Amino acid sequence: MAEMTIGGAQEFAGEQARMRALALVWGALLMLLLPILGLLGLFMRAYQSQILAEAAPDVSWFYASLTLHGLGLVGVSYTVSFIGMLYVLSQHVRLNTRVLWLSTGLTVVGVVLLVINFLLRFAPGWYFLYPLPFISAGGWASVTADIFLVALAVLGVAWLLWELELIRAIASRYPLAQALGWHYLKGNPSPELPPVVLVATVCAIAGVIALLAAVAMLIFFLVHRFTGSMVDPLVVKNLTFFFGHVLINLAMYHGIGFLYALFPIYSGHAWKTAVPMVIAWNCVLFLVMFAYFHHLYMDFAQPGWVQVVGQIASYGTAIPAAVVTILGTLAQVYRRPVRWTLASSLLFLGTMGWAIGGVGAVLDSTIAINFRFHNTLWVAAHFHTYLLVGLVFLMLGFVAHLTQELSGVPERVGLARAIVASLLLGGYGFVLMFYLSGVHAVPRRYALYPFELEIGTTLAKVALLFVLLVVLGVLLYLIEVGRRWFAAYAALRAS
Amino acid sequence: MTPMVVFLVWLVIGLLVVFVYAWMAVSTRGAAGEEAAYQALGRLRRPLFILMLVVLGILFAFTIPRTPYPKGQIPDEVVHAVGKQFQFALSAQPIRNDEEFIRASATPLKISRGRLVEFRVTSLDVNHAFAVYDPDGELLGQTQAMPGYVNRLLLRFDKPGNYTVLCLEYCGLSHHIMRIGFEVAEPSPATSRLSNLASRR
Repeated sequence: MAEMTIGGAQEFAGEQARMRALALVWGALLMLLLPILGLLGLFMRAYQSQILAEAAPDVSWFYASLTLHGLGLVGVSYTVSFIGMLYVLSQHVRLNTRVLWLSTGLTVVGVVLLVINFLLRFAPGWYFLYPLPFISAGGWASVTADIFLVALAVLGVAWLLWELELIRAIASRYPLAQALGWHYLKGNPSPELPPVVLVATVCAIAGVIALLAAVAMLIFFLVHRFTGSMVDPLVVKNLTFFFGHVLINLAMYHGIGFLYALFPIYSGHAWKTAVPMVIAWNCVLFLVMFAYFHHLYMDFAQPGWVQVVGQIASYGTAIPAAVVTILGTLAQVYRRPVRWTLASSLLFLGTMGWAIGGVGAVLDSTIAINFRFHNTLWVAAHFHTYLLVGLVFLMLGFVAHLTQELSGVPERVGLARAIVASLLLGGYGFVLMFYLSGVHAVPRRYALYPFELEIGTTLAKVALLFVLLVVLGVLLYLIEVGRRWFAAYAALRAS
Repeated sequence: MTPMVVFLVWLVIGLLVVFVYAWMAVSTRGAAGEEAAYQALGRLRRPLFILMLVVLGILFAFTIPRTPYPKGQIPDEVVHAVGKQFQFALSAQPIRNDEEFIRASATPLKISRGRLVEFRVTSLDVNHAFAVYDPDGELLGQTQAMPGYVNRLLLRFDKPGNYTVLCLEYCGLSHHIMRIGFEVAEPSPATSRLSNLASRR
């Protein structure tokens, strides 16, 4: 904004104020949806542990919960992390908050449709593998598949809109090559590129490509819906996993985007763009497109070279994450006078969950290992590690930071420590039961386990204890951050 | 690598990560924030990059020859395996329609120990997965059962007993009860003679 006029500066400040309001609303949505969707998870583990016994509701509620829990949390992860990234990005580029509000409204419409479908017990699983939504063996009404397609279309439009707005905002200030940091590779680090701009550019490009794949997937679904004839399930499977894999990876990368901007506030050391970071994120943009093949390793009909590319790309995405972001986070902390608060602790520990979950994911992305781990609870283990104790920590850290920044309400140190301890112990204990179940080849997405795999039931019982700790941590978080949220809201209204 | 070895690898690396994070967090106590400390960790970037490249390279080289995809082996037996909400059918004969499916699902399958079996796996409706568990509940391997495609899964059964096939791809409300069994028995003398002849050739 070097050429900005006084009027332009005021307008920019106005957009930033509107961005703060939007971020606050999404913070509230996180605090509302995370507990509700988390409780569906608690219900599922209780169902699997058989403690509900005679009181257990019909199995259709288990699978409907499985569907909404997965769809909902992937959606919440993508959207809240996206808004978190935009919040810090709004310091550098001018975003049109009207578009972001429109996307928010459409997202709410999509979520309402998904909730209606949940009440109608629509249950094709969170990745709704074609042609299951249409062929349920009497499990759910065919109208629910139609509602689901409308929900997908609405969410697709909403998210494509704000991804395009992000690209427009970045492009209005930075040429593409500069936004991707290519001038650093030529030995010229001028103009200086804030790391969040680099991450946001990579995410926006990958996001638009993923959403276009979703459009293609939706077209295949519509062809089936209106002609009644089967389309190629392997092609649709590729599109589905490409979209889903990229989307959930983007959620994590959005989190890293705001981590780069927020953590230095607590460590006192600026996190600057440098050549390794530029190489890393440009590699990520390329590799994330091909890593999704690991979801199809057990589709032996895929060409063999595609499977090998999947393994290489999956290994490849781990290297920039460790060498640039994880090591960078540690360098921010090592022998520095870090101001440890709820926000900084959760941001720091969120990267640890990403690292530990990443190890589980890399192992599972090895074809020979996946042969025995695919669709066992090992899969649920590693993605809950980098989502629950990874990305959720980052998002909770972001909202804790946001509400603190906007409200100025002092933190209750003891409560903050109790929150971190409960979430940490509960979260890791919970995922450990998934890992152990995976070792014993307990299948994922089973309402009840067969007698040969009874250990799955026992481990689900133990997991419940840890889930209760997570619930406690979330409740304490709501008490502490909810109080700040109301103060921040009041301060924002007053200003 | 057995699942337990994979778990132990994950556990050791995971604990190492926790240790490093704890160490870093403790190092902030009373720290003055020297630039030298930041630079020192920055210098680890290259060794870490090389270490990861080497470790992942070794893992890749070790595991790629062990992928489960058919590599031109000639099976001793072919078994057609078909999934359909919420049952499997196994047969030495092709299963092309519902009638053949019902007949095959009612006929128990017996396989001789030590033979290389090729399962030709497909589905008549939605995606399923065909996962074979041995008599001790250990998962031997799996492949997807997809409508319109045939996936060839090769397994050799060295342990006699009752094997179980479970569906590992979510396929609807009764997914968790979709299963079938087959028996692996000691080969009869006649089958053994034929196998020996085949292996000598």
